[in-house]
Amino acid sequence: MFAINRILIFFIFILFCVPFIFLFEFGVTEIFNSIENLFSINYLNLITNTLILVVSVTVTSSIIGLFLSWATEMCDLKYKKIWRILLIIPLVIPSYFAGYIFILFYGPKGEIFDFINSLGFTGNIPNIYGFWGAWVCLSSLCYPYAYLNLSAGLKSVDRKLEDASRVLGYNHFKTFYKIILPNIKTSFFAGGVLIALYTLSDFGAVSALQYNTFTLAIYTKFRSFDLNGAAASSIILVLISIPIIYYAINMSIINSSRISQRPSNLSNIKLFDLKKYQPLVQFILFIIVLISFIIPFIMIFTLISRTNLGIYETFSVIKYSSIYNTIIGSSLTGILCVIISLLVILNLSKKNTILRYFFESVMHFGFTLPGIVIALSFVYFSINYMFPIYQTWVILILGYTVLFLSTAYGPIVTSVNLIGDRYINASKSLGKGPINTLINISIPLYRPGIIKGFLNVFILTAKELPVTLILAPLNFNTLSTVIWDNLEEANFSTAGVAGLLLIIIIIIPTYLSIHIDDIKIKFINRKK
Amino acid sequence: MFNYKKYYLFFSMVLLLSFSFACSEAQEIIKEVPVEVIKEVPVEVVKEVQVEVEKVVEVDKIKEVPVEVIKEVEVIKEVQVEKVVKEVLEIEKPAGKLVVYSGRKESLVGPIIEQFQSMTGIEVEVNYGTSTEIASQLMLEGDKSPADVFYAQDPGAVGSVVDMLAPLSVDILEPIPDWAKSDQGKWVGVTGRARVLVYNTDNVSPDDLPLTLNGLCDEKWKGRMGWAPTNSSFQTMVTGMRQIWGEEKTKEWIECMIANEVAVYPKNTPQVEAAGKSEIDIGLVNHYYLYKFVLDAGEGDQFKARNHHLLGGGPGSLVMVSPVAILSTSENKSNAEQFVTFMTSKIAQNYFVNNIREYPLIEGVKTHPLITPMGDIKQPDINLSELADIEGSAKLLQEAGALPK
Repeated sequence: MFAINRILIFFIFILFCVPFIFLFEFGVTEIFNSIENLFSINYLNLITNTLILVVSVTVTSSIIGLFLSWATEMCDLKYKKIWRILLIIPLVIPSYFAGYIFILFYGPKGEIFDFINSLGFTGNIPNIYGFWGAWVCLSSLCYPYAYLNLSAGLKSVDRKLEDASRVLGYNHFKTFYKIILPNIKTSFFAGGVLIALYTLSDFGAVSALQYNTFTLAIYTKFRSFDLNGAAASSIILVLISIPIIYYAINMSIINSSRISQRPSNLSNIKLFDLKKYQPLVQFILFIIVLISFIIPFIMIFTLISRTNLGIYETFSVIKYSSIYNTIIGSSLTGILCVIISLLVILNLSKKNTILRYFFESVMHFGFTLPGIVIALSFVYFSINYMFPIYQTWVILILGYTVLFLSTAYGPIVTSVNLIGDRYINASKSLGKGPINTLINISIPLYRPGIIKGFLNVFILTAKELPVTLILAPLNFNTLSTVIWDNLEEANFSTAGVAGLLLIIIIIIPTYLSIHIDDIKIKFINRKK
Repeated sequence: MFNYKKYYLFFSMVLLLSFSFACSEAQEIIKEVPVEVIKEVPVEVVKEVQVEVEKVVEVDKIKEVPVEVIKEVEVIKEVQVEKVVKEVLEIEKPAGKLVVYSGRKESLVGPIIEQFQSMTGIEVEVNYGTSTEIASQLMLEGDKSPADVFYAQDPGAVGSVVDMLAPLSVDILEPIPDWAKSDQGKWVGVTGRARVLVYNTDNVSPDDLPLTLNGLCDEKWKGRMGWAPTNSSFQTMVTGMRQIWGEEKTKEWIECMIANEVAVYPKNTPQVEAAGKSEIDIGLVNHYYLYKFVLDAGEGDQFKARNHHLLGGGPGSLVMVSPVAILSTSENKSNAEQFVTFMTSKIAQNYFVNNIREYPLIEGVKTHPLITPMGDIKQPDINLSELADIEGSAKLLQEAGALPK
C-alpha cells in the first residue's frame, strides 16, 4: 500500500514537471540571448502593469468574497440558497467572452451609453478601456474563487469556538475578526492566490479591454512563431509568480500546525441575526450579482436576439457532442484532481515538508502559465515520449489536471488542516485499516473542501479553451470551443446559446453541492 | 433502512450522464449547404449519364443568375449531376481516412468538409484551432505529425512550416492564379480575403477616405481609428508593406499611426462592432466580417458601417488567401490530394462565396453580389508566398512600439 502511494506520487511529480521540460528545452538559452530586453522600459512597463492589476484584483475580489461568505454562511440571510448559486455563476463565463460582453454593455458606445443618451444626456461616459475596465471585469469574474474557498473554510470551522468566544464576552464581529478569521486564513490565502494567478495568466479579458499585461508578450511571441521567445517569456512569468506562491505556501504550512478541531456540527449553527440590516445586505448582494451575473446574462440574450434565425435553428447549430464532451471532460478532471490532491495531502503531510513545498510550488506554476504553454508542452512531451496517448482523452485530462489542480488543492488542504488527524488516529487505533478509515472517516470529514475543490475544477475545465483546442482528440468540440469559434466569426447568436448552455451545465453541480448540505442537516436533525 | 437521500448526488449524476449519452447518440443536424442536393440523386442516375452530360453545356449561362434566388437551385442541381457520377465511381475504391489541421473555424469549414466526406466516403478527422497555434503544434510534432493536410487562415502560418510540406501536383496548382499560390508549389490558396477600411457611415463619407494607407496619418483622423496589431491578417499586411514600401517607411507609418492615437483591438470583429457603433470611425480589417453584422441587423441600414477598398492601391488593398497544403509526412497522400482538389473545385468555391462571402480563386465562379468584384480592387503586384515572414513583421511592430517586446 505504502509503496503504491509512493509510485503514484512519483508519477504525479513527473506529470507536473512536463511544462518545465518544455520551458527549459526552448527557453533557457533564449533568456540569456535576450537579456537586454528584460531591462527595456517596454518590458518593465508590462511587468508593472501586470502587478498593479494582480494586486488590485486580488484585494478587491478577496474582500468581496469575505463579505459574501460571511453573509451566506454566518447570517440569517433570506433566500440563501439562490444567492449561493447566483454568486458562483460568474466563474463560468470564459474571460474572452466576458471581455466582449463587458464592452457591449459598458463600452464607449455600449448599452449604458445608449440608455443615458435616450434620457437626453449627450456627453461621454467614463472610458472603460485600460486599467479600470480590466480591474472591474476581472474582479467580477474572480471573486467566486475567494467566495468558494472562504465558505468552504467557514463550513469547516468548529463553531464551538464561536460559542466560547461569545460566552467570554466578544460580540459577533469581534469573534469573527479574532476567532473565526484566523482559523480560515488558509482559505483566505488559497483563494487570494488563485485570483492572483488567474489574473496573471489571463489573456482574453485584458486584451479585449485593451490593457497590456505580461501574457500579451507571450502571445505575441507565439503568434509570430517564435517558440523560443515565448518559452523565455513564460519562464519570466513563472519567476514573477514565485513570490506570490511562496507566500501562499508559507501561509498554509504555518496554519497546518494549528490545533486540531472538531468538525462543525451543521445542525447547531447559530446564525447572526441581521435584523434591520437585512435589506442593506440583500441590496449589496444584488449589486454584486447585477454586475457579475445579471448584466452578462442579459447581454447574452441580446447576442442571441441579434439573429434573424428562429431559436430552434440557432440551437440546432450546436452539436450535442459538445455538451456531452463538456460534461464528461469536466467531471473526469474534477474527480482526478480531487483524488490527486487527497493522495498528495495525506501522504506528504507534515513529515515531508521539503517534498510538499516543492510539489505545491510546481502545482501552482501550472495555474500561472497561460494555457497555451501547458498545451504545447504536453504536445512536445507526448509526441516524443508517450505517442500512443497523443490526441486522446487521456492527454487532454492530464493537461487540464496540470492546469487546474491547484484550484482543487486549496479548498481540500484547508479542510484537512482544519480537521487535523485526531479522528483518523482514533479510527486507526480502533483497528480500522487505512482504506476503511479513508472512506468512512476522512472523506466525509473533508467533504466541504472536496466538493468545493471539485466544483472549482469542473467550472474551470468547462470554460477552458487553449488546452482543449490543442490537446483534444480529433473531431472534438466543447461548448467553450463553440463559443470561441462563433464569437470570432461573428455568429453571435450561436455563441450566445452556447454560453447559456454552459451556464446551465454549471448550475447543476453547483446546486447539488449546496443541496447536499441541506440534506445532511435534515438527516442529522432526524436522527436526534 | 435504505436512505435514498444519501444517494441523491449519485443518482443525479447518473441521470445527468445518461442524459448526455442519450443526447450524443441523437442525430446531429448538419448546416444546410446549397449543394447538398447531391445526396438525393438515386444511384440509377448513373445509367443516364450521357443524357445529363449534354445538359452541362447550358450551365455557364444559367450560372449568371445570382445563386441566392431560390428558384434557380434546381438548375444548379443539374450541374452537380456530372460530379456525382464521378464520385459514385470513386466510392468503390477503399476510401480510408484523412487528418486535417484546420486554422479556420468549424462554423466556416465544417459543412463543406462534411460534404467532402459524404461525396468521397473518406473519413475526415479535423483538429480545429488558430492557424498560428496549429503551426506551433506542427513544429513540435515534427516527423511524427498525424496530420495530412494543413488548412490555414493566412499564408504566414503555412509559410512558417514550409519545410514540412510536400510539393503539390501540377493538376492542383494549375487552376490557381500565380499570385495566390506558393512559388515553390507547396500550397495553394482556396479563397481570397481583401484588406479594407471599415468606416462608420454617419461620421465619414467614403469620399473623405484617403487614397492609400498613408492618408491615415493625417491629423484629421486622430483618435478616430482602430487596428489589431496582434491579428495575423494585419501582420501579413505589414509584411506586404515591408515588401512594397521597405522597412523604414513601414516603421514610419506604424509610428505615425500610434502618434495618431489608434485604438488597439484584439481582433477584427470587435473593430467592426466598434465602427458600427461609432466608437471608432475607421478600422483596419478583412472584408467579410461586416456582412454578418449587416445581415444580422436586418432590413435597411441599421448597422452603420461599410467597407471601403482603398482607391490608390498599395498594401492596404492586399488580397490575402487562406492556403491549404499537404504535409510531407502524410500517410494518406492520395486522399489529401483529393481534399485539396475538392477545396479548389467549383462546389467548394461556390460554398465559400455564398456562405462566407470570400473571393473565389478559380475561373468560372462568380463573386457574391454584395462584395466588390475582384477586378475593381487595386491589388498590389505581389506574390503571397513573399508574405510568409510574419516574425520579421512582429519584430518591426515591436520596435515601432505597437507590440510589447
